[in-house]
Amino acid sequence: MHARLQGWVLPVAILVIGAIVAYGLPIALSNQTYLLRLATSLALLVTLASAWNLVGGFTGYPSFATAAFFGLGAYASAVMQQFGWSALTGYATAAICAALLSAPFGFAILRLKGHYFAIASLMLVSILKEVTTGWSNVTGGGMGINLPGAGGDPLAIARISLEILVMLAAFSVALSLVISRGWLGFGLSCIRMNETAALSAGIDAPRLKTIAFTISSAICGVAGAAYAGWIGYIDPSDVYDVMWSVRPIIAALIGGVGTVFGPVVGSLIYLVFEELMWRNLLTFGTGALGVLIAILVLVMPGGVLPSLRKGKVS
Amino acid sequence: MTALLELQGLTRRFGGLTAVNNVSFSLDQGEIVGLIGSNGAGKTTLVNLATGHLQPTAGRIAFAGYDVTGKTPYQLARLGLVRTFQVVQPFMQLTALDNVAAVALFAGGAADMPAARHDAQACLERLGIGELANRLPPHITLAQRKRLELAKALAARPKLLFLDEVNAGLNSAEIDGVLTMIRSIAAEGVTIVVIEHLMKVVRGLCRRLVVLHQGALLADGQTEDVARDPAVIEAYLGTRGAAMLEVSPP
Repeated sequence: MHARLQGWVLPVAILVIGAIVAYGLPIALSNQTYLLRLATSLALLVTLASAWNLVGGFTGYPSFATAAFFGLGAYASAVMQQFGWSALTGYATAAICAALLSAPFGFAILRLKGHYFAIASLMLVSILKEVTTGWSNVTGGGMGINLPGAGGDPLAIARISLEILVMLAAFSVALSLVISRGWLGFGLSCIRMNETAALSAGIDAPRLKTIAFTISSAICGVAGAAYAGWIGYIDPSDVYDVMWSVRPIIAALIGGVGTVFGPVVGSLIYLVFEELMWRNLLTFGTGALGVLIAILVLVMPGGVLPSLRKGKVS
Repeated sequence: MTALLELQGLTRRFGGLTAVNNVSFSLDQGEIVGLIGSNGAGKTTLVNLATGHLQPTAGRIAFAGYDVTGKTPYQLARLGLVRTFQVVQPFMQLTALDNVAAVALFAGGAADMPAARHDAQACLERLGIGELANRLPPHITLAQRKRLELAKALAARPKLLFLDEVNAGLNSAEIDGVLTMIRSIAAEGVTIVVIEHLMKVVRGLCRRLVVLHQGALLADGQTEDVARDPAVIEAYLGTRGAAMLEVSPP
Protein backbone atom coordinates (compact mmCIF):
# COMPACT_ATOMS: atom_id res chain seq x y z
CA MET A 1 0.00 0.00 0.00
CA HIS A 2 2.84 2.32 0.91
CA ALA A 3 4.64 1.57 -2.34
CA ARG A 4 1.43 2.13 -4.24
CA LEU A 5 1.02 5.59 -2.68
CA GLN A 6 4.63 6.41 -3.50
CA GLY A 7 3.99 5.64 -7.13
CA TRP A 8 1.50 8.51 -7.30
CA VAL A 9 3.78 11.13 -5.77
CA LEU A 10 5.63 12.09 -8.95
CA PRO A 11 2.63 12.17 -11.31
CA VAL A 12 0.69 14.29 -8.83
CA ALA A 13 3.75 16.52 -8.37
CA ILE A 14 3.88 17.03 -12.14
CA LEU A 15 0.22 18.05 -12.18
CA VAL A 16 0.74 20.43 -9.23
CA ILE A 17 3.80 22.01 -10.86
CA GLY A 18 1.81 22.23 -14.09
CA ALA A 19 -1.02 24.00 -12.26
CA ILE A 20 1.39 26.45 -10.62
CA VAL A 21 3.09 27.21 -13.94
CA ALA A 22 -0.27 27.45 -15.68
CA TYR A 23 -1.42 29.98 -13.10
CA GLY A 24 1.84 31.91 -12.66
CA LEU A 25 3.36 32.06 -16.13
CA PRO A 26 0.57 34.05 -17.84
CA ILE A 27 0.81 36.60 -15.02
CA ALA A 28 4.60 36.77 -15.17
CA LEU A 29 4.55 37.17 -18.93
CA SER A 30 1.38 39.25 -18.94
CA ASN A 31 2.36 41.73 -21.65
CA GLN A 32 5.26 40.02 -23.34
CA THR A 33 3.46 38.63 -26.32
CA TYR A 34 6.56 37.04 -27.84
CA LEU A 35 7.38 35.04 -24.71
CA LEU A 36 3.71 34.15 -24.23
CA ARG A 37 3.64 32.75 -27.72
CA LEU A 38 6.89 30.86 -27.22
CA ALA A 39 5.77 29.32 -23.93
CA THR A 40 2.45 28.29 -25.48
CA SER A 41 4.24 26.71 -28.44
CA LEU A 42 6.46 24.81 -26.03
CA ALA A 43 3.50 23.51 -24.02
CA LEU A 44 1.78 22.46 -27.25
CA LEU A 45 4.88 20.64 -28.50
CA VAL A 46 5.41 18.90 -25.15
CA THR A 47 1.80 17.74 -25.24
CA LEU A 48 2.05 16.34 -28.76
CA ALA A 49 5.53 14.82 -28.30
CA SER A 50 4.54 13.15 -25.08
CA ALA A 51 1.32 11.82 -26.62
CA TRP A 52 3.21 10.56 -29.69
CA ASN A 53 5.72 8.87 -27.38
CA LEU A 54 3.00 6.54 -26.03
CA VAL A 55 2.76 4.93 -29.46
CA GLY A 56 6.07 5.78 -31.12
CA GLY A 57 8.21 5.41 -28.01
CA PHE A 58 6.65 3.03 -25.52
CA THR A 59 5.14 0.73 -28.15
CA GLY A 60 7.67 1.22 -30.95
CA TYR A 61 5.13 2.05 -33.69
CA PRO A 62 6.28 5.19 -35.54
CA SER A 63 2.97 6.98 -36.07
CA PHE A 64 2.61 9.94 -38.42
CA ALA A 65 -1.08 10.35 -37.60
CA THR A 66 -0.56 13.07 -34.99
CA ALA A 67 -1.54 15.81 -37.46
CA ALA A 68 -4.73 13.91 -38.35
CA PHE A 69 -6.05 13.87 -34.80
CA PHE A 70 -4.69 17.33 -34.11
CA GLY A 71 -6.62 18.70 -37.09
CA LEU A 72 -9.70 16.64 -36.29
CA GLY A 73 -9.71 18.01 -32.74
CA ALA A 74 -9.25 21.56 -33.97
CA TYR A 75 -12.17 21.24 -36.38
CA ALA A 76 -14.42 19.32 -33.97
CA SER A 77 -14.04 22.04 -31.40
CA ALA A 78 -14.34 24.90 -33.90
CA VAL A 79 -17.50 23.48 -35.47
CA MET A 80 -19.10 22.91 -32.06
CA GLN A 81 -18.35 26.48 -31.06
CA GLN A 82 -19.76 27.75 -34.34
CA PHE A 83 -23.00 26.00 -33.44
CA GLY A 84 -22.99 27.93 -30.19
CA TRP A 85 -21.56 25.40 -27.78
CA SER A 86 -19.02 26.36 -25.14
CA ALA A 87 -15.26 25.95 -25.57
CA LEU A 88 -15.31 23.23 -22.92
CA THR A 89 -17.84 21.23 -24.94
CA GLY A 90 -15.52 21.80 -27.89
CA TYR A 91 -12.61 20.19 -26.05
CA ALA A 92 -14.75 17.23 -24.99
CA THR A 93 -15.99 16.77 -28.56
CA ALA A 94 -12.42 16.93 -29.85
CA ALA A 95 -11.30 14.20 -27.45
CA ILE A 96 -14.32 12.02 -28.22
CA CYS A 97 -14.04 12.40 -32.01
CA ALA A 98 -10.31 11.63 -31.94
CA ALA A 99 -10.87 8.60 -29.71
CA LEU A 100 -13.81 7.29 -31.76
CA LEU A 101 -11.84 7.54 -34.99
CA SER A 102 -8.50 6.34 -33.63
CA ALA A 103 -9.76 3.19 -31.92
CA PRO A 104 -10.95 1.34 -35.05
CA PHE A 105 -8.33 2.98 -37.28
CA GLY A 106 -5.56 2.08 -34.86
CA PHE A 107 -6.83 -1.47 -34.42
CA ALA A 108 -6.74 -1.86 -38.20
CA ILE A 109 -3.32 -0.39 -38.98
CA LEU A 110 -1.43 -1.45 -35.84
CA ARG A 111 -1.08 -4.91 -37.35
CA LEU A 112 1.30 -3.35 -39.86
CA LYS A 113 4.92 -3.00 -38.82
CA GLY A 114 7.62 -0.38 -39.23
CA HIS A 115 7.49 1.62 -42.45
CA TYR A 116 4.16 0.15 -43.50
CA PHE A 117 2.55 1.34 -40.31
CA ALA A 118 4.17 4.77 -40.72
CA ILE A 119 2.81 5.17 -44.27
CA ALA A 120 -0.67 3.95 -43.30
CA SER A 121 -0.80 6.39 -40.40
CA LEU A 122 0.36 9.21 -42.67
CA MET A 123 -2.49 8.50 -45.12
CA LEU A 124 -5.05 9.45 -42.49
CA VAL A 125 -3.72 13.02 -42.49
CA SER A 126 -4.36 13.40 -46.23
CA ILE A 127 -7.74 11.73 -46.01
CA LEU A 128 -9.01 13.94 -43.20
CA LYS A 129 -7.62 17.02 -44.92
CA GLU A 130 -9.53 16.15 -48.11
CA VAL A 131 -12.73 15.36 -46.22
CA THR A 132 -12.53 18.58 -44.24
CA THR A 133 -11.90 20.66 -47.36
CA GLY A 134 -14.72 18.96 -49.20
CA TRP A 135 -17.33 19.16 -46.46
CA SER A 136 -17.53 22.92 -46.80
CA ASN A 137 -21.06 23.57 -45.51
CA VAL A 138 -19.94 22.43 -42.04
CA THR A 139 -16.19 23.15 -42.04
CA GLY A 140 -16.08 26.16 -44.31
CA GLY A 141 -13.87 24.18 -46.68
CA GLY A 142 -10.71 25.93 -47.78
CA MET A 143 -12.01 29.20 -46.31
CA GLY A 144 -11.49 27.85 -42.80
CA ILE A 145 -13.29 28.83 -39.59
CA ASN A 146 -12.98 31.95 -37.45
CA LEU A 147 -13.32 31.49 -33.69
CA PRO A 148 -14.35 34.56 -31.72
CA GLY A 149 -13.11 33.33 -28.31
CA ALA A 150 -12.77 35.37 -25.09
CA GLY A 151 -14.46 38.46 -26.44
CA GLY A 152 -11.77 38.92 -29.03
CA ASP A 153 -9.10 40.35 -26.70
CA PRO A 154 -5.88 38.88 -28.13
CA LEU A 155 -3.92 39.16 -24.88
CA ALA A 156 -6.65 37.44 -22.86
CA ILE A 157 -6.81 34.66 -25.43
CA ALA A 158 -3.02 34.28 -25.29
CA ARG A 159 -3.07 33.95 -21.49
CA ILE A 160 -5.96 31.50 -21.39
CA SER A 161 -4.37 29.40 -24.15
CA LEU A 162 -1.10 29.24 -22.22
CA GLU A 163 -2.95 28.11 -19.09
CA ILE A 164 -4.85 25.42 -20.95
CA LEU A 165 -1.87 24.09 -22.88
CA VAL A 166 0.46 24.02 -19.87
CA MET A 167 -2.16 22.01 -17.97
CA LEU A 168 -2.60 19.73 -20.96
CA ALA A 169 1.17 19.23 -21.24
CA ALA A 170 1.43 18.42 -17.53
CA PHE A 171 -1.48 16.01 -17.85
CA SER A 172 0.10 14.33 -20.87
CA VAL A 173 3.46 13.86 -19.11
CA ALA A 174 1.88 12.71 -15.83
CA LEU A 175 -0.25 10.22 -17.75
CA SER A 176 2.84 8.92 -19.55
CA LEU A 177 4.50 8.41 -16.22
CA VAL A 178 1.52 6.54 -14.76
CA ILE A 179 1.26 4.37 -17.88
CA SER A 180 5.02 3.65 -17.98
CA ARG A 181 4.92 2.37 -14.42
CA GLY A 182 1.75 0.31 -14.72
CA TRP A 183 0.80 -2.92 -16.43
CA LEU A 184 -0.07 -1.09 -19.66
CA GLY A 185 3.41 0.41 -19.98
CA PHE A 186 5.00 -2.90 -19.07
CA GLY A 187 2.97 -4.71 -21.70
CA LEU A 188 3.70 -2.03 -24.32
CA SER A 189 7.44 -2.24 -23.66
CA CYS A 190 7.29 -6.01 -24.10
CA ILE A 191 5.51 -5.49 -27.42
CA ARG A 192 8.19 -3.01 -28.49
CA MET A 193 11.03 -5.38 -27.60
CA ASN A 194 9.56 -8.54 -29.11
CA GLU A 195 5.97 -8.75 -30.21
CA THR A 196 6.03 -12.51 -30.88
CA ALA A 197 7.35 -13.20 -27.40
CA ALA A 198 4.82 -10.74 -25.98
CA LEU A 199 1.96 -12.69 -27.55
CA SER A 200 3.37 -15.91 -26.12
CA ALA A 201 3.61 -14.22 -22.73
CA GLY A 202 -0.16 -13.82 -22.77
CA ILE A 203 -0.07 -10.13 -23.72
CA ASP A 204 -3.13 -9.07 -25.71
CA ALA A 205 -0.99 -7.01 -28.09
CA PRO A 206 -3.74 -5.78 -30.46
CA ARG A 207 -5.78 -4.49 -27.53
CA LEU A 208 -2.87 -2.83 -25.71
CA LYS A 209 -1.63 -1.15 -28.88
CA THR A 210 -5.13 0.13 -29.64
CA ILE A 211 -5.50 1.51 -26.11
CA ALA A 212 -2.18 3.37 -26.38
CA PHE A 213 -3.06 4.72 -29.83
CA THR A 214 -6.51 5.87 -28.68
CA ILE A 215 -5.21 7.66 -25.57
CA SER A 216 -2.48 9.30 -27.63
CA SER A 217 -4.94 10.43 -30.31
CA ALA A 218 -7.44 11.81 -27.81
CA ILE A 219 -4.70 13.99 -26.29
CA CYS A 220 -3.69 15.19 -29.76
CA GLY A 221 -7.36 16.00 -30.44
CA VAL A 222 -7.64 18.17 -27.33
CA ALA A 223 -4.33 19.82 -28.23
CA GLY A 224 -5.82 20.66 -31.63
CA ALA A 225 -8.87 22.16 -29.96
CA ALA A 226 -6.65 24.28 -27.73
CA TYR A 227 -4.64 25.37 -30.77
CA ALA A 228 -7.79 26.43 -32.60
CA GLY A 229 -8.87 28.51 -29.61
CA TRP A 230 -5.43 30.04 -29.35
CA ILE A 231 -4.91 30.98 -33.01
CA GLY A 232 -8.54 31.94 -33.56
CA TYR A 233 -8.60 30.90 -37.20
CA ILE A 234 -8.07 27.45 -38.67
CA ASP A 235 -8.00 26.09 -42.20
CA PRO A 236 -7.27 22.58 -43.48
CA SER A 237 -3.77 23.32 -44.79
CA ASP A 238 -2.73 24.69 -41.39
CA VAL A 239 -4.11 22.15 -38.89
CA TYR A 240 -3.55 19.13 -41.14
CA ASP A 241 0.00 20.24 -41.95
CA VAL A 242 2.22 17.17 -41.75
CA MET A 243 4.68 19.20 -39.66
CA TRP A 244 2.29 18.63 -36.74
CA SER A 245 3.24 14.97 -37.10
CA VAL A 246 6.93 15.52 -37.70
CA ARG A 247 7.84 18.08 -35.03
CA PRO A 248 6.71 15.94 -32.06
CA ILE A 249 8.70 13.02 -33.47
CA ILE A 250 11.83 15.16 -33.79
CA ALA A 251 11.33 16.49 -30.26
CA ALA A 252 10.97 12.96 -28.88
CA LEU A 253 14.01 11.79 -30.86
CA ILE A 254 16.14 14.62 -29.52
CA GLY A 255 15.07 14.13 -25.91
CA GLY A 256 14.87 10.37 -25.75
CA VAL A 257 12.30 8.13 -27.41
CA GLY A 258 10.42 5.88 -25.00
CA THR A 259 11.41 7.83 -21.90
CA VAL A 260 8.84 9.82 -19.94
CA PHE A 261 10.77 13.09 -19.77
CA GLY A 262 12.63 12.81 -23.07
CA PRO A 263 9.81 14.48 -25.04
CA VAL A 264 9.82 17.38 -22.55
CA VAL A 265 13.57 17.99 -22.80
CA GLY A 266 13.52 17.40 -26.56
CA SER A 267 10.67 19.88 -27.11
CA LEU A 268 12.58 22.53 -25.18
CA ILE A 269 15.79 21.95 -27.14
CA TYR A 270 13.93 21.84 -30.44
CA LEU A 271 12.08 25.11 -29.83
CA VAL A 272 15.18 26.93 -28.59
CA PHE A 273 17.09 25.85 -31.70
CA GLU A 274 14.18 26.70 -33.95
CA GLU A 275 13.95 30.21 -32.51
CA LEU A 276 17.71 30.79 -32.64
CA MET A 277 17.96 29.63 -36.24
CA TRP A 278 14.90 31.53 -37.27
CA ARG A 279 16.14 34.76 -35.79
CA ASN A 280 19.77 34.59 -36.81
CA LEU A 281 19.66 32.76 -40.12
CA LEU A 282 16.41 33.94 -41.56
CA THR A 283 17.02 32.76 -45.10
CA PHE A 284 18.54 29.40 -44.22
CA GLY A 285 16.83 28.90 -40.84
CA THR A 286 15.02 25.66 -41.57
CA GLY A 287 18.05 24.19 -43.31
CA ALA A 288 20.34 24.97 -40.41
CA LEU A 289 17.79 23.50 -38.01
CA GLY A 290 17.73 20.31 -40.05
CA VAL A 291 21.51 20.03 -40.00
CA LEU A 292 21.55 20.63 -36.24
CA ILE A 293 18.93 17.95 -35.62
CA ALA A 294 20.84 15.49 -37.77
CA ILE A 295 24.02 16.16 -35.80
CA LEU A 296 22.21 15.79 -32.49
CA VAL A 297 20.64 12.50 -33.43
CA LEU A 298 23.97 11.21 -34.74
CA VAL A 299 25.92 12.21 -31.64
CA MET A 300 23.28 11.10 -29.15
CA PRO A 301 21.45 8.26 -30.91
CA GLY A 302 19.19 7.34 -27.99
CA GLY A 303 18.35 10.97 -27.30
CA VAL A 304 19.72 13.52 -24.86
CA LEU A 305 18.25 12.07 -21.67
CA PRO A 306 19.41 8.45 -22.16
CA SER A 307 22.85 9.72 -23.25
CA LEU A 308 23.18 11.74 -20.06
CA ARG A 309 22.20 8.71 -18.01
CA LYS A 310 24.77 6.66 -19.87
CA GLY A 311 24.92 3.01 -18.96
CA LYS A 312 21.52 3.10 -17.37
CA VAL A 313 18.93 1.35 -19.52
CA SER A 314 15.74 3.28 -19.91
CA MET B 1 -11.41 -38.96 -20.23
CA THR B 2 -11.07 -36.55 -23.11
CA ALA B 3 -7.65 -35.79 -24.50
CA LEU B 4 -5.90 -32.61 -23.35
CA LEU B 5 -5.07 -31.60 -26.90
CA GLU B 6 -6.73 -32.93 -29.99
CA LEU B 7 -5.61 -32.05 -33.50
CA GLN B 8 -8.00 -33.05 -36.27
CA GLY B 9 -7.01 -32.92 -39.91
CA LEU B 10 -4.72 -29.94 -39.37
CA THR B 11 -3.51 -28.50 -42.67
CA ARG B 12 -1.51 -25.42 -43.49
CA ARG B 13 -0.58 -24.30 -46.97
CA PHE B 14 1.80 -21.51 -47.92
CA GLY B 15 0.85 -20.81 -51.51
CA GLY B 16 1.58 -24.04 -53.36
CA LEU B 17 3.50 -25.61 -50.48
CA THR B 18 1.62 -27.76 -48.00
CA ALA B 19 3.76 -27.43 -44.87
CA VAL B 20 1.41 -29.45 -42.69
CA ASN B 21 -0.91 -31.90 -44.40
CA ASN B 22 -3.97 -33.36 -42.68
CA VAL B 23 -2.28 -34.18 -39.36
CA SER B 24 -4.38 -35.69 -36.57
CA PHE B 25 -3.30 -36.89 -33.16
CA SER B 26 -4.19 -36.30 -29.55
CA LEU B 27 -2.27 -35.89 -26.33
CA ASP B 28 -3.31 -37.08 -22.86
CA GLN B 29 -2.50 -35.26 -19.69
CA GLY B 30 0.94 -35.97 -18.25
CA GLU B 31 2.46 -37.45 -21.40
CA ILE B 32 5.90 -36.56 -22.69
CA VAL B 33 5.73 -36.92 -26.43
CA GLY B 34 8.55 -36.48 -28.92
CA LEU B 35 7.73 -34.71 -32.17
CA ILE B 36 10.42 -35.64 -34.67
CA GLY B 37 11.13 -35.40 -38.36
CA SER B 38 13.79 -34.12 -40.70
CA ASN B 39 14.35 -30.44 -41.44
CA GLY B 40 11.35 -29.03 -43.22
CA ALA B 41 9.07 -31.87 -42.12
CA GLY B 42 6.65 -29.32 -40.64
CA LYS B 43 7.41 -29.66 -36.93
CA THR B 44 7.71 -25.98 -36.13
CA THR B 45 4.77 -25.11 -38.40
CA LEU B 46 2.69 -27.64 -36.48
CA VAL B 47 3.71 -26.02 -33.19
CA ASN B 48 2.89 -22.60 -34.63
CA LEU B 49 -0.56 -23.88 -35.59
CA ALA B 50 -1.23 -25.52 -32.25
CA THR B 51 -0.21 -22.41 -30.31
CA GLY B 52 -2.07 -19.90 -32.47
CA HIS B 53 0.96 -18.26 -34.09
CA LEU B 54 -0.36 -19.48 -37.43
CA GLN B 55 -3.94 -20.17 -38.39
CA PRO B 56 -4.68 -23.53 -40.06
CA THR B 57 -5.91 -23.65 -43.64
CA ALA B 58 -8.13 -26.56 -42.58
CA GLY B 59 -8.74 -28.72 -39.53
CA ARG B 60 -9.57 -28.04 -35.93
CA ILE B 61 -7.83 -27.90 -32.57
CA ALA B 62 -9.43 -28.79 -29.24
CA PHE B 63 -7.73 -28.00 -25.95
CA ALA B 64 -9.02 -29.25 -22.59
CA GLY B 65 -12.36 -30.05 -24.20
CA TYR B 66 -12.84 -26.67 -25.89
CA ASP B 67 -12.56 -25.85 -29.56
CA VAL B 68 -9.69 -23.37 -29.72
CA THR B 69 -9.29 -23.22 -33.52
CA GLY B 70 -8.59 -19.62 -34.52
CA LYS B 71 -7.62 -18.50 -31.03
CA THR B 72 -4.66 -16.17 -30.71
CA PRO B 73 -1.36 -16.99 -28.96
CA TYR B 74 -2.12 -14.81 -25.95
CA GLN B 75 -5.52 -16.42 -25.44
CA LEU B 76 -3.99 -19.87 -25.63
CA ALA B 77 -1.12 -18.89 -23.32
CA ARG B 78 -3.65 -17.77 -20.72
CA LEU B 79 -5.43 -21.12 -21.07
CA GLY B 80 -2.17 -22.92 -20.35
CA LEU B 81 -1.07 -23.84 -23.86
CA VAL B 82 2.48 -22.57 -23.84
CA ARG B 83 5.54 -22.88 -26.04
CA THR B 84 9.21 -22.05 -26.11
CA PHE B 85 10.92 -20.83 -29.26
CA GLN B 86 13.66 -22.60 -31.16
CA VAL B 87 15.47 -19.29 -31.36
CA VAL B 88 15.13 -17.92 -27.83
CA GLN B 89 12.97 -14.80 -27.65
CA PRO B 90 13.85 -12.80 -24.55
CA PHE B 91 12.83 -9.18 -23.99
CA MET B 92 16.30 -7.75 -24.47
CA GLN B 93 16.03 -4.67 -22.27
CA LEU B 94 14.30 -6.40 -19.37
CA THR B 95 16.14 -8.23 -16.61
CA ALA B 96 15.79 -11.99 -16.49
CA LEU B 97 13.42 -11.53 -13.56
CA ASP B 98 11.15 -9.11 -15.43
CA ASN B 99 11.23 -11.31 -18.53
CA VAL B 100 9.63 -14.04 -16.46
CA ALA B 101 7.48 -11.59 -14.49
CA ALA B 102 5.89 -10.39 -17.74
CA VAL B 103 4.60 -13.89 -18.38
CA ALA B 104 3.54 -14.36 -14.76
CA LEU B 105 1.58 -11.10 -14.93
CA PHE B 106 -0.11 -11.48 -18.31
CA ALA B 107 -0.52 -15.25 -18.60
CA GLY B 108 0.16 -16.72 -15.15
CA GLY B 109 -2.58 -14.91 -13.30
CA ALA B 110 -0.35 -12.88 -10.94
CA ALA B 111 -2.41 -10.08 -9.39
CA ASP B 112 0.15 -7.28 -9.71
CA MET B 113 3.81 -6.60 -10.43
CA PRO B 114 5.18 -7.48 -6.96
CA ALA B 115 3.29 -10.79 -7.06
CA ALA B 116 4.52 -11.40 -10.60
CA ARG B 117 8.14 -10.76 -9.60
CA HIS B 118 7.72 -13.09 -6.64
CA ASP B 119 6.42 -15.88 -8.89
CA ALA B 120 9.16 -15.11 -11.40
CA GLN B 121 11.91 -15.47 -8.83
CA ALA B 122 10.49 -18.86 -7.86
CA CYS B 123 10.55 -19.97 -11.51
CA LEU B 124 14.13 -18.80 -12.00
CA GLU B 125 15.27 -20.60 -8.87
CA ARG B 126 13.51 -23.73 -9.91
CA LEU B 127 15.58 -23.74 -13.08
CA GLY B 128 18.76 -23.01 -11.17
CA ILE B 129 19.26 -19.50 -12.52
CA GLY B 130 17.97 -17.53 -9.52
CA GLU B 131 21.24 -15.63 -9.27
CA LEU B 132 20.77 -14.21 -12.79
CA ALA B 133 17.57 -12.38 -11.83
CA ASN B 134 19.01 -8.91 -12.36
CA ARG B 135 21.01 -9.64 -15.49
CA LEU B 136 19.97 -8.54 -18.95
CA PRO B 137 19.59 -11.29 -21.58
CA PRO B 138 22.56 -10.14 -23.71
CA HIS B 139 24.77 -10.75 -20.68
CA ILE B 140 23.90 -14.39 -20.05
CA THR B 141 25.07 -17.51 -21.86
CA LEU B 142 23.04 -19.44 -24.43
CA ALA B 143 22.51 -22.33 -22.00
CA GLN B 144 21.21 -19.90 -19.40
CA ARG B 145 19.00 -18.20 -21.96
CA LYS B 146 17.46 -21.56 -22.81
CA ARG B 147 16.69 -21.98 -19.13
CA LEU B 148 15.28 -18.47 -19.04
CA GLU B 149 13.00 -19.45 -21.91
CA LEU B 150 11.87 -22.46 -19.88
CA ALA B 151 11.34 -20.28 -16.80
CA LYS B 152 9.15 -17.96 -18.88
CA ALA B 153 7.10 -20.93 -20.05
CA LEU B 154 6.70 -22.17 -16.48
CA ALA B 155 5.54 -18.76 -15.28
CA ALA B 156 2.46 -19.12 -17.50
CA ARG B 157 1.41 -22.11 -15.34
CA PRO B 158 1.20 -24.36 -18.38
CA LYS B 159 -1.01 -27.39 -18.83
CA LEU B 160 0.68 -28.21 -22.10
CA LEU B 161 4.18 -27.18 -23.04
CA PHE B 162 5.73 -27.29 -26.50
CA LEU B 163 9.52 -27.28 -26.21
CA ASP B 164 10.93 -26.36 -29.60
CA GLU B 165 14.54 -27.60 -29.64
CA VAL B 166 15.40 -26.37 -26.16
CA ASN B 167 18.63 -28.35 -26.40
CA ALA B 168 19.94 -27.13 -29.73
CA GLY B 169 23.39 -25.65 -29.30
CA LEU B 170 23.96 -27.02 -25.81
CA ASN B 171 26.76 -29.34 -24.76
CA SER B 172 26.19 -32.78 -23.29
CA ALA B 173 26.35 -31.74 -19.63
CA GLU B 174 24.00 -28.82 -20.23
CA ILE B 175 21.56 -31.11 -22.01
CA ASP B 176 21.50 -33.48 -19.03
CA GLY B 177 20.66 -30.54 -16.77
CA VAL B 178 17.78 -29.48 -19.01
CA LEU B 179 16.46 -33.06 -19.24
CA THR B 180 16.28 -33.32 -15.46
CA MET B 181 14.25 -30.12 -15.39
CA ILE B 182 11.88 -31.25 -18.12
CA ARG B 183 11.24 -34.45 -16.18
CA SER B 184 10.54 -32.54 -12.99
CA ILE B 185 8.08 -30.28 -14.83
CA ALA B 186 6.35 -33.33 -16.30
CA ALA B 187 6.20 -34.93 -12.85
CA GLU B 188 3.81 -32.15 -11.84
CA GLY B 189 1.32 -33.27 -14.47
CA VAL B 190 2.30 -30.88 -17.25
CA THR B 191 1.97 -32.48 -20.66
CA ILE B 192 5.10 -31.91 -22.72
CA VAL B 193 5.79 -32.10 -26.42
CA VAL B 194 9.50 -32.16 -27.20
CA ILE B 195 10.50 -31.11 -30.70
CA GLU B 196 13.95 -32.52 -31.18
CA HIS B 197 16.69 -33.57 -33.52
CA LEU B 198 18.84 -35.12 -30.80
CA MET B 199 18.15 -38.84 -30.41
CA LYS B 200 19.72 -38.77 -26.97
CA VAL B 201 17.04 -36.38 -25.77
CA VAL B 202 14.17 -38.20 -27.41
CA ARG B 203 15.30 -41.54 -26.06
CA GLY B 204 15.78 -40.17 -22.57
CA LEU B 205 12.42 -38.48 -22.30
CA CYS B 206 9.68 -39.84 -24.48
CA ARG B 207 7.65 -43.01 -24.35
CA ARG B 208 5.71 -41.93 -27.38
CA LEU B 209 6.85 -40.46 -30.66
CA VAL B 210 5.01 -38.59 -33.38
CA VAL B 211 6.91 -38.54 -36.67
CA LEU B 212 6.27 -35.98 -39.40
CA HIS B 213 7.50 -36.41 -42.93
CA GLN B 214 6.94 -33.83 -45.67
CA GLY B 215 4.16 -32.28 -43.65
CA ALA B 216 2.21 -35.50 -43.09
CA LEU B 217 1.96 -37.81 -40.12
CA LEU B 218 4.28 -40.73 -40.80
CA ALA B 219 4.05 -42.61 -37.50
CA ASP B 220 2.60 -42.24 -34.03
CA GLY B 221 3.27 -44.79 -31.32
CA GLN B 222 5.52 -46.18 -28.58
CA THR B 223 9.12 -45.10 -28.98
CA GLU B 224 10.37 -48.68 -29.55
CA ASP B 225 7.70 -49.43 -32.13
CA VAL B 226 8.35 -46.25 -34.04
CA ALA B 227 12.07 -46.96 -34.02
CA ARG B 228 11.40 -50.29 -35.72
CA ASP B 229 8.97 -48.88 -38.25
CA PRO B 230 10.59 -49.38 -41.67
CA ALA B 231 8.92 -46.28 -43.10
CA VAL B 232 10.36 -44.12 -40.31
CA ILE B 233 13.80 -45.66 -40.69
CA GLU B 234 13.79 -45.01 -44.38
CA ALA B 235 12.39 -41.48 -44.21
CA TYR B 236 14.18 -40.10 -41.21
CA LEU B 237 16.09 -42.18 -38.73
CA GLY B 238 18.42 -44.24 -40.87
CA THR B 239 19.66 -47.49 -39.39
CA ARG B 240 22.03 -45.82 -36.96
CA GLY B 241 19.38 -43.54 -35.53
CA ALA B 242 17.03 -46.47 -35.17
CA ALA B 243 19.67 -48.36 -33.24
CA MET B 244 20.08 -45.42 -30.87
CA LEU B 245 16.35 -45.40 -30.20
CA GLU B 246 16.10 -49.14 -29.55
CA VAL B 247 16.86 -48.67 -25.86
CA SER B 248 13.70 -48.30 -23.80
CA PRO B 249 13.30 -45.04 -21.92
CA PRO B 250 14.19 -45.17 -18.23
